[in-house]
Amino acid sequence: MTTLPPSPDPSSPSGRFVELMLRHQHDLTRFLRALGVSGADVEETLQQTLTSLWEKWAEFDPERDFLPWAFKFAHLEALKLRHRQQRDHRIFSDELVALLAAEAEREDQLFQPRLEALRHCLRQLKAFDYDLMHAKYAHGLTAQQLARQTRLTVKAIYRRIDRIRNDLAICIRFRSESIGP
Amino acid sequence: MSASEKSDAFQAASAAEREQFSLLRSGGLTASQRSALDEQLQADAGLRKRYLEWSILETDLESVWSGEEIVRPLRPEWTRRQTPLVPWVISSALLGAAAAVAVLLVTDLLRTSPWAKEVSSTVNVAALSPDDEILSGNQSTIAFLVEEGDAVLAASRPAPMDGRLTAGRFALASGRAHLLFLNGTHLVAHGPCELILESPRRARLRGGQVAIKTWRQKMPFRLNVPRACLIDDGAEFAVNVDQSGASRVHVQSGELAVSVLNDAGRTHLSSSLSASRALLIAPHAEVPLVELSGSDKPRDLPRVTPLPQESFSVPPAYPELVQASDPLIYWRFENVDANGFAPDHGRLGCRAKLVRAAGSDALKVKQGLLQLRASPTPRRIESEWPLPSINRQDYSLEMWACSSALRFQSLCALILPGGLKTQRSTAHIELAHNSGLSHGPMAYRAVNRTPASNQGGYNAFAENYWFPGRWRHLVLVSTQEQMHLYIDGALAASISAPREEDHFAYSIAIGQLHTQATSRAPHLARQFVGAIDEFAVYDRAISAEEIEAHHQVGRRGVSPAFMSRSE
Repeated sequence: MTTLPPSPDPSSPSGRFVELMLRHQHDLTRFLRALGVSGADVEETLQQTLTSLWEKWAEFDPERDFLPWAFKFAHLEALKLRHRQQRDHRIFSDELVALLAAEAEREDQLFQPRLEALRHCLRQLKAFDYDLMHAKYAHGLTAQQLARQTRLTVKAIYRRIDRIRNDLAICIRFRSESIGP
Repeated sequence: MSASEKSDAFQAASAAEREQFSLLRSGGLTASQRSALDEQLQADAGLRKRYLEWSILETDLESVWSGEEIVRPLRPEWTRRQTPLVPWVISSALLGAAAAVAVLLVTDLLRTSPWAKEVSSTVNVAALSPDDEILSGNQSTIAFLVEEGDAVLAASRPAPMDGRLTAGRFALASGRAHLLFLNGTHLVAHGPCELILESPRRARLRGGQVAIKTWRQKMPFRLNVPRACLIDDGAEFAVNVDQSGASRVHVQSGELAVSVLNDAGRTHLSSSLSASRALLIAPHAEVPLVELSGSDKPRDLPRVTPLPQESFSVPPAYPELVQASDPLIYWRFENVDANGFAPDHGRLGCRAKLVRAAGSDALKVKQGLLQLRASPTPRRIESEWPLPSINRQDYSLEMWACSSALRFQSLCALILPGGLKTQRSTAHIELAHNSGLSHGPMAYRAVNRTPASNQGGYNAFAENYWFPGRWRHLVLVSTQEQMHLYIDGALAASISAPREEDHFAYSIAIGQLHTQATSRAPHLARQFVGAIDEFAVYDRAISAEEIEAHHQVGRRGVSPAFMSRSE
């Protein structure tokens, strides 16, 4: 039987860092994706971000919010990635990246725990709609594959997924507001 | 921001904007289109906000499925080893990155993955016998639910869980849904429709229409309609109960026993209905049973349609991986020559022979798969020649299989060739259901018996893995002392099974074990119904790592059909 080792002491500096990193790793992923980082670059940029954060950890003021501070490092790493990949068109311009990063820091409510709200909202979907989203996002099926599975047209699939996403966005927003941050 | 301010500030992106964002994310914009969108986002704060909301939701949707029971409880096979690969890889990379900066601490904390599974050896599980399971009347599964894409369930009590139905009310608002009862009966419900599910071989249709097909067995299926019951012992029929409580019944094949019941629920008036005949049961009429003929015969009652199945399109990397494991035999079932042989891509060059009655299409290679239907005549795949000395060493049998019928089925076997009335085998993989042995429900069974025989041997069961229409990766590994059964890349059962060496040459049989009927071995009782692909034999015990790798790569070729899940 495998025994779990004791959790790190959150009062220790490294323990506190690990705790925050585990809590906010998904937020950093969301942020990087919003800045236009995609695919395997997300993983690499996240690693670089974590390394930078750890190197500067001693400078972090525990009275501040962690996420805006972490976003700055992620922003810098995203810019570095863009400069390394000069010919890659998947990352936004420096100006836009800076604007999005500033927006994200201001609108930190966007990054608050929303996965629970999403789970709740997915639960409200009709069975077919749920399966459609599951097949697309968990299994990466394309609209063409989904069309073959469901006997709907490709266009109908796109429209349906678009509608479901919109419904989920509204549901998450109202769910988040009703239960508070 | 106040709640109302937040609500006012929320403005979902328009459809056109969402389309742009999707193309941006997927890399579908040209450089100039991307540049134009970049400028728009720089200039428009509202658009930036909407883009951020959209992007965050998209990222969340990609992540929310990974690694945990979420939303509706997922089917066991989704949680077992179906964790989507990409989020798992990203998560692992994150944990690795954390370990790089907080070495010992993070490594210790994250050593045990939430997806790790402790596997222990199992022996025969002498759980409830299949009959106990069926008759116990508890909350165990009595049917599987497979919805078609347009099915809309109404409120069922209890709600289906992971595609499994227990006793209670099942209601379909619209579309079609397939119910596969544990006794093997296949029922297709057409919405709107309401059923009361009572047991694995009994249900009550309160309204709407269904088509039913079952096969002859010891305990027939019984469908109750208002003031009547229909007993199916190998027939295919359809029935519509209208709002007045009258039932129209049409038999497509076989023979159906019909009883009009009295107030005590006992047969008052009985009849039988053979193929192509139709009946009206009007419980409150003076003449409760009227045969319908001519223009009165119902013409629009449905047939039992094939169960939706997952599709399997083998990824290009898969055969390369199998070849790297150096198979003795490797049948891919991509094509068949004019003489009915499928080529062998293994070392031996021993082809697969399609054995079937002349004119039968119950066994064929189609769309890159070996497809098998139920047949009144024997049909199976046999190896072109027997494998010499296979039983003098460790060996492994590997395959992908998708079964659409719940019955005792033989998937593959190593058999002694020759004109024997009862097939003697030394190893096989089966779906054990109502087998007469003691095991849990819906179990895959691996058998090893030496010397070769038509009975006895060591058994390993892996229970609750089967689901109609789902592809499974199955590997049997047999060593001198042990037998292991892997399902979907993980060890599912492992037993001590000492094996005697012998010098016989064994043939491979896929899809049916016995081809000639005897009193002890009904030849049609173990026909496999469904599809099989990528069958391989190795003259060694392939490793757990190879098995997992084969499964991981092969699984990418499976596209899930739309099946039920809990409400």
